[in-house]
Amino acid sequence: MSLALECSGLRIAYGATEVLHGVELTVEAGESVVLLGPSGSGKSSLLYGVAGFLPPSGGEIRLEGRMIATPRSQEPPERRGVAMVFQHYALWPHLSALDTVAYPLRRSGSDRGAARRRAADLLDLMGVAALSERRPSELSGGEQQRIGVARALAREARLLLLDEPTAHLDAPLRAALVAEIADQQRRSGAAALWATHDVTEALAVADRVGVLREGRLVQVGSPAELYERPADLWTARLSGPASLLALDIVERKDSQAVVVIQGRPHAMSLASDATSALGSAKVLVRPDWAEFGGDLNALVTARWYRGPHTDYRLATPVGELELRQLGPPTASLGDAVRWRLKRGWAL
Amino acid sequence: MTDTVVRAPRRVISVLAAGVLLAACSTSPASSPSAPPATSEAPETATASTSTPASTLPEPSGTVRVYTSVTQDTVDAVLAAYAEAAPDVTVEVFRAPTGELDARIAAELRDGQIGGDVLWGTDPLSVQSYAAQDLLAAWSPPEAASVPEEYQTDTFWGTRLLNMLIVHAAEMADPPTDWADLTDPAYADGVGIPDPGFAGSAFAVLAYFESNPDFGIEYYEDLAENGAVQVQAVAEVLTGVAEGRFVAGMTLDKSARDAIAQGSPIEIAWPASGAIALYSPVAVFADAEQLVNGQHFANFLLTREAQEAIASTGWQPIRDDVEGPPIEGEQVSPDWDEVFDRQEELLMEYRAIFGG
Amino acid sequence: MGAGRVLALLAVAAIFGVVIAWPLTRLAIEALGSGTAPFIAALGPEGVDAIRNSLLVALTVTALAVTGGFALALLTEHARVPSRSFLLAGILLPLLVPDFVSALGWTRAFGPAGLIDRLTGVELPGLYGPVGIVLVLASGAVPLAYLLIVAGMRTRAEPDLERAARMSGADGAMALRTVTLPLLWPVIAAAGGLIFATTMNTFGTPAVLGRPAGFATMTTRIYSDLAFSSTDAAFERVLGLALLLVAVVVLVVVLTDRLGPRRTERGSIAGPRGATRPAGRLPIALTWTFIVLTVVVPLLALVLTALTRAVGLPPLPENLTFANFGRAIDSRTMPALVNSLLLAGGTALACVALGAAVAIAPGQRWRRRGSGIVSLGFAVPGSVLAIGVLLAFGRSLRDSLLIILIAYVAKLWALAARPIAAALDRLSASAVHAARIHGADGPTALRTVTVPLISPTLIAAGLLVFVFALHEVTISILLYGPSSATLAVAILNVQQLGDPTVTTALSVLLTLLVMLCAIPLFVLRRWWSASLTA
Repeated sequence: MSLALECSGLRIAYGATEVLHGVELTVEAGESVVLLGPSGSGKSSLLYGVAGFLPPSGGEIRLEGRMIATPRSQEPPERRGVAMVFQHYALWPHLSALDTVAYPLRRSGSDRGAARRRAADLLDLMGVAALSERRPSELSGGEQQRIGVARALAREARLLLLDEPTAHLDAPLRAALVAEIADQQRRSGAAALWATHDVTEALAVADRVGVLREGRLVQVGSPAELYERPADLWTARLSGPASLLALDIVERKDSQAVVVIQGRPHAMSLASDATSALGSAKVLVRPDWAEFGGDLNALVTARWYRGPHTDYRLATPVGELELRQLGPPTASLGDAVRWRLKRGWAL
Repeated sequence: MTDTVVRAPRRVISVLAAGVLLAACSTSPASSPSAPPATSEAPETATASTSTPASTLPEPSGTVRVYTSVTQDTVDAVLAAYAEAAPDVTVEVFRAPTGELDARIAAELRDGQIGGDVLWGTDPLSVQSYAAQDLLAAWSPPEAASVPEEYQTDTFWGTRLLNMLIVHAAEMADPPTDWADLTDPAYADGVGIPDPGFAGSAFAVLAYFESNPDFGIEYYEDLAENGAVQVQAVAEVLTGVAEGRFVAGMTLDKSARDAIAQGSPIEIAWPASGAIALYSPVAVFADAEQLVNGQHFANFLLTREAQEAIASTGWQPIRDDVEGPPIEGEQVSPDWDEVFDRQEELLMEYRAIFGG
Repeated sequence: MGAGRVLALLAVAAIFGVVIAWPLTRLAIEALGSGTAPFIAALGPEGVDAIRNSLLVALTVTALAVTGGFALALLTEHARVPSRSFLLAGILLPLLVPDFVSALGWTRAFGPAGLIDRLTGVELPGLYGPVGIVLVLASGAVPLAYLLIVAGMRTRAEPDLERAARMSGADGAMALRTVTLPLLWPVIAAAGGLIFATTMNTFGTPAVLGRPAGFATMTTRIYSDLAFSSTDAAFERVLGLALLLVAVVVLVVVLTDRLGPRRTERGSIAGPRGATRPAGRLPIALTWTFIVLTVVVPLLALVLTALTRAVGLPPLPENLTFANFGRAIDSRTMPALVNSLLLAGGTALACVALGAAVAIAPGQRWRRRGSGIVSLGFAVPGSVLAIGVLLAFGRSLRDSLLIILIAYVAKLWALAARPIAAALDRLSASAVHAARIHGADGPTALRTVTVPLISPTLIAAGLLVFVFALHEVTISILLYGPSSATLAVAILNVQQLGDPTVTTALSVLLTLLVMLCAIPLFVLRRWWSASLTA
């Protein structure tokens, strides 16, 4: 069986309030799946359900083909062979970093010396070897979470659960740690299930992304699919910057279409899940799907210089548009500019 | 009997001596300023009061503070009668079990001033101790003639009698009739006795048996061998017999009669060799703030009205001329003076047998 | 430290000096007044027996009660239990039953001719003796341990820490041993220390159940000597034994504190509480069995006794009456009740305020020392403490309610201070720091952050002090005056009349009364915590 995790019809309830309404999700061996959703969407509940802290109120959970949770019976967390990195680190105040990382090793039967040696290696791996005698209260958030990750790695689990591991860290630290965690996870060969509300994090580390909305999985797919073919406007907005233009489609063939803008026909690439209907449509446009030049008119209403590229907000006859151009700014606020639409995603 | 009771002239000297000693020993800075005046007054008032016939005392008014361990119902009955006899006197009562009462007195004494005027005890032992420490005023009540001589001393007088007797389960085929029967194998593991370490009445029983050649401490050895069980409180014996935990035991007459009146399934057996009687003495503290009122109240306890009030709560009055509960046989007592000096020794002997 | 804080600490120190240090010093002066004789007498072969027995009973009771209270706390706090409120009420009910009738309740329930004996012919073997003493005292102490441990758990919920252990491969028991227990240690030590001191001081149960077996404890010896305290030798022996008992209690309490982690880390872990798993059937069944056997049956036996016309009659309809309730109360009961309620309320407020005042102590070490030092008062047997207070203030405050209040505060200060200090130990420092950063001055931070966060413990401590003060029968009996008689006086009056049906009736009334007081407090507590979280 190549599935590390399989949730079918998974429901989870807090008392009378159901927070997951029948989730279908699989994670293949070694695969990295990210759960993307705003807070309260059920990401943590799903993770805690898989970990064994919340019993399902419906459906079932399998790990590597083995049934571990149904509403009737649940394997205790420690026998599921999964590891977890917690949002609030959850380091034990009474244990040093070394003892914390040695803890799972001791539990899986290593003797004290071996456990501490391996723990020291893992601390070294996470770049915090110098902190091995410190306790949580003497550590920064980033240091604490590196120890939290080392502890999870020490578990040598087939599935790693990561509950917004970097939510409480500042931005530069966050990116570095995310990359490091992803790297370590791939090297260990373990599958990973991340929860995050940060789309750049999700797109960066995921093999597949699952979008959770109010306890329902509304879309599962590769990061590119999610970015280019979001299921709906809500998902589109969650998965990155997006503009919505009102276009009149006059002709469609495969992924090519002709739309009318400013009374003139305009050829573009247009994809959609729906049957190729003609007429007026809401078309989603990512910032890199339009460019300067061409024959359409617009007015610059906002501009952000971001180093490698510059973001503009344009007022166009078909709606407000966000546009991204490589390099430093070439237009100023209030300038009249010309632009062209390369592609879109009809909702 | 009067060997240990000091006569008045010697008393004065010893009170003085005690006062000096007390002032000298006092380690509390707070207690020294007031201690000497209090004790130096004591002999004067004590001497004065012994020579003043109580009948010429003026009608009392004000307050009197009574320290007592006598049961509340009896205190209430006596207070009701006293309210008629001396309507202008406010009686403030501090009532506590003997141990707590004595502890309060001990603490107040060491702090320089006992807070009570009158001491009305349950049994003679602690009152004897205060007499020996010269803390009690010498005094002779107007009704002295009505009190049997064995319940009189210079400083304290008997007010009522408590009788320790045998109580056994009702409808018993072969009930015990005398103390010696309680060691009979017929009552093996079924006899309850009160612990003399906690109750004065139980101690009186111990003192009586130990010093009586017919019994001796061997009596307790026999009881223990027969599986007798000691309980903390005298009333627990009664409860135990009523409930069937014991078949027989030693307890006080009044509680037994009360329980029978309410319908408890028990009966009284007045021991053929005599119920063991102890008396509840009243005394007045030598340095009482309200010495006159105190003596008035103490005198009152020996009057016919007070004695009738005591009898009405089921205890035997000290006066023969007041009708009390039925006395169905002999009454015997330990030699209290002899017992007084041997308290520790007696308890040690007892504990060697029953433990604790 | 700011000037305000210094002044507040000085005030607390001054109160300590007045209510605890000075009375204890007076006791020591009186005991030492005649040299070392009282202590030598106290350490004779009988004395050593009593010390050994006391330690044996107190250590066993502490171990059993803390284990039981901890297990119950895990059940109700970490798992979802059906009819939770009833379960909580059942667990806590013994706290409301005055301890001077708990031994009576057990003998009525399980002793010869008791309720169970009458119904099934079975009686509990060893009830009269050390086994019975331990059973009665331990089951009575379980709710105390439970209450203090739950209050500590609620001060800082840290389910993620246990989850992290489970994720690391520890099973439930291992997570308990390696994570939950070490983190809860201050709370457990505080509960254990208090139970140990209470048990060392308890008199009623060892007297009723121990005497028949000739089993003496330090307290039964003290009370026995108290009965002869009209003689100097016996009085001094009382003080000597009592001071020895204080030394033993304080030694054990200090050692317990030392045994724990030297420094409790105060992390900043919150983590969602999350929904809990349903509790297993076996633990729930065991808990209900425990409640029925140790609470319901003895209480039922007491109620039946209170309703029986005369002692020894079987509880059949024709023998039942309400007359005992009438005999239990008279014209003095109401004023006594008012005095006791006033004193208990005043003591509870004072002790919680004094206990919470250690929150402003400069650090954890000082907090620990503070709560350790006030344990001195809790370690003294009630009657001896009352003697000390009489020695210290007898002449100036005689017969006043204030002298009783002083003694109550001296006795019960530790009952509030220890749990509060333990809760503070578990409080995250960053919570207070956050308040200070966001514009709260010291007192405001105390009021708006520290106090609300430790409010479960403050309420638990206040309730405990209130109930202990209301039920005490050894302190005020030595201190009361004409206008300051307490319930203790009424209880001992009735008790000395020797009719258990009346004594029981009074204690049943008292239990009902405390229940009536507890219900509004319970409602208030919900309202309070709701207003805090809003």
